[in-house]
Amino acid sequence: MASINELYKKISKFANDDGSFYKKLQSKLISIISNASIQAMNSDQGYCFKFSIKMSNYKDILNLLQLTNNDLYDAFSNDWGASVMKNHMHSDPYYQLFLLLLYFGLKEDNKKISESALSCIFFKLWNGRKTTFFQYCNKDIMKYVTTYMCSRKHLANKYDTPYEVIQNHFVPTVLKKYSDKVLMGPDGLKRVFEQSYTRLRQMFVSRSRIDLKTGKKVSDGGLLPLYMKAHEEGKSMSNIHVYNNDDSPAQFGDYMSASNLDGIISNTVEKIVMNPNKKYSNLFIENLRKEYRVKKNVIEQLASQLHNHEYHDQLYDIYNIILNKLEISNKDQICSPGFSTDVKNKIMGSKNNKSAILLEKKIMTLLEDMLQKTIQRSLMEYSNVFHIQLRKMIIRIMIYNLKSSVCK
Amino acid sequence: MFLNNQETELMCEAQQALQKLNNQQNSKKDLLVEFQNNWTKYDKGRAYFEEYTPESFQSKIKIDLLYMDQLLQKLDNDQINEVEKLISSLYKDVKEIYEFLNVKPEIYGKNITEELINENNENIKGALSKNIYKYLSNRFYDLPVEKRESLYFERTKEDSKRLITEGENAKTAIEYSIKKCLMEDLVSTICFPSVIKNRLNYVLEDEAFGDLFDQEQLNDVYDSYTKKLNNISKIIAACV
Repeated sequence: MASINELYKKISKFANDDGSFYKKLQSKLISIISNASIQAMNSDQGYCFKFSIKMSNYKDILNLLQLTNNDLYDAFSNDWGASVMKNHMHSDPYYQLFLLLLYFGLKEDNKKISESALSCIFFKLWNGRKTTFFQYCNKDIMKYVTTYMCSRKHLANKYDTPYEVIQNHFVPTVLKKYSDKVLMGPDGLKRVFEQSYTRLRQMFVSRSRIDLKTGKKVSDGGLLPLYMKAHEEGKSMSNIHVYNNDDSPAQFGDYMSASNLDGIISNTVEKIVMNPNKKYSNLFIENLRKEYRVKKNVIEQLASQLHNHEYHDQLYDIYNIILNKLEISNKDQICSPGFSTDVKNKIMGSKNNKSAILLEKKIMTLLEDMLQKTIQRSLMEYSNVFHIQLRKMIIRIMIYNLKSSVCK
Repeated sequence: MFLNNQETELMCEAQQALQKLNNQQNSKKDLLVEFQNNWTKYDKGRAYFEEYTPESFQSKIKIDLLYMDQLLQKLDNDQINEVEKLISSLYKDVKEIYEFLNVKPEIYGKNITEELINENNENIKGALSKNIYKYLSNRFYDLPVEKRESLYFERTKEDSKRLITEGENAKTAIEYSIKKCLMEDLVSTICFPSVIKNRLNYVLEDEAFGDLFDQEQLNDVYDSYTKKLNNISKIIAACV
């Protein structure tokens, strides 16, 4: 039976044999981090925010390392013991993969890999804790809590978003304190994982005690009791799931990272890139021609070019920005009659804010490449007002694909 | 003296140094050529214009129609009805051209904005007439004879000839042809003030625009606009 160290050696051998291995691995990790950063930047949910983790990234890394979920399970089970594997989190292949990468990064003294791997662990830990303590989270109440009720020492007071607290506090502090222990062996890896969990959990609940009246375990510190207090003081909230019993096992759903939105985006992007010969209706193309004054054959070429598999990640990012901005959480919202109006007003009409600028940049990068490949022209040859027209047209084509994917 | 192999080594080094210098010079040239190529392709007015909006066109058309009112004052009601149809058809093309250019429609005249419609009739009339007279003075009345000739002789020659063969006396025919020419320029400037006109001319000819946007259709709309402009200027010339 394999061990964590043997898996590390296997990866290390890949790195020695393949000169581009580090580059590939780092780019995949950076893609996860940058995706999380985009989500955080676009979200106005504050500490109600939940990361949408692309499961395709996890699978890509697994493929790059030529490992399976079973390989990971066997190695961790071997080193940590079968009884530990009964715990949902310890046996979760997502955590195991990134713990292995954390080990690899530290052993190889590659900061980028170790920091990114630990960030990925924290993203999912965050999702789990957030779902556990705030199944339904009102962003307004949470904002009130973090602004007015948290002490200055509380991390939520120091950092604006979970992304920031993870990147700027948890990752550096945990690495600083536990790197040496991880290097000593698998037990250190287990310790760093459990410590990460505990530290993050303390943000939500701390100073637990038994309530003498009810006999139940309650907490006096952390976001949850403050949130409850704010709620009782008059803020409206449909429902809140209070989870006070530390011994109760977490449900699988608590650790589900691929959210509904992530699923919608992934499916749509997969359908686009897997269907390079998509036929767009004449009516749709004609409408675009009339509205954006672009030549019909060029619209067809650009629409077809959009299905190029090379644009997979770019499309994902663009959808991510658009749907986050529109606060889409389910398919019905996309299929509702008001969706197109929302896109027009909130996306196409939006200017001079962070997400609009980011969206503009992303679409411009995509467009530049598409124009070079179709009509061998550069965006530089066109004025800004034409850029706007072209961006709007690309958004329209992407929304058409989104609706085709989700609503039919 | 050097030994053979030392000489060869020295020659090699010298050659390498020369090669390096040569490469540097070439790369400098390449950069310059690249810059020139990019500069030729670069759309120089790229950041100047604001985006078209239906609201900005509405503002423009309100003022433009007031200009037209000034020009058509002498027409009777029946004639006005006919001209209104023509103007409305002309502005359909103007709107489409602005949409093609995707630039914010401009109102002709210094300090003339949509706010003008809130003024009383006298102020409106005063402001617009001043602009019209200023335009006509700059384009005709204040010009020396030679300049007038160079500007209008070729353009009015054919019209004047035709009118004379139709029985008009020469003076009336030439006066009418010049008026028509002036009115055509004036209405055209009201529709497309010079900055926009320059942009339009650029876009009508620009190869890059033609590769991506429907330049052929823009040319069709522009032709249709020119014909309508010609018809309207005939009527205005007859009544001013």
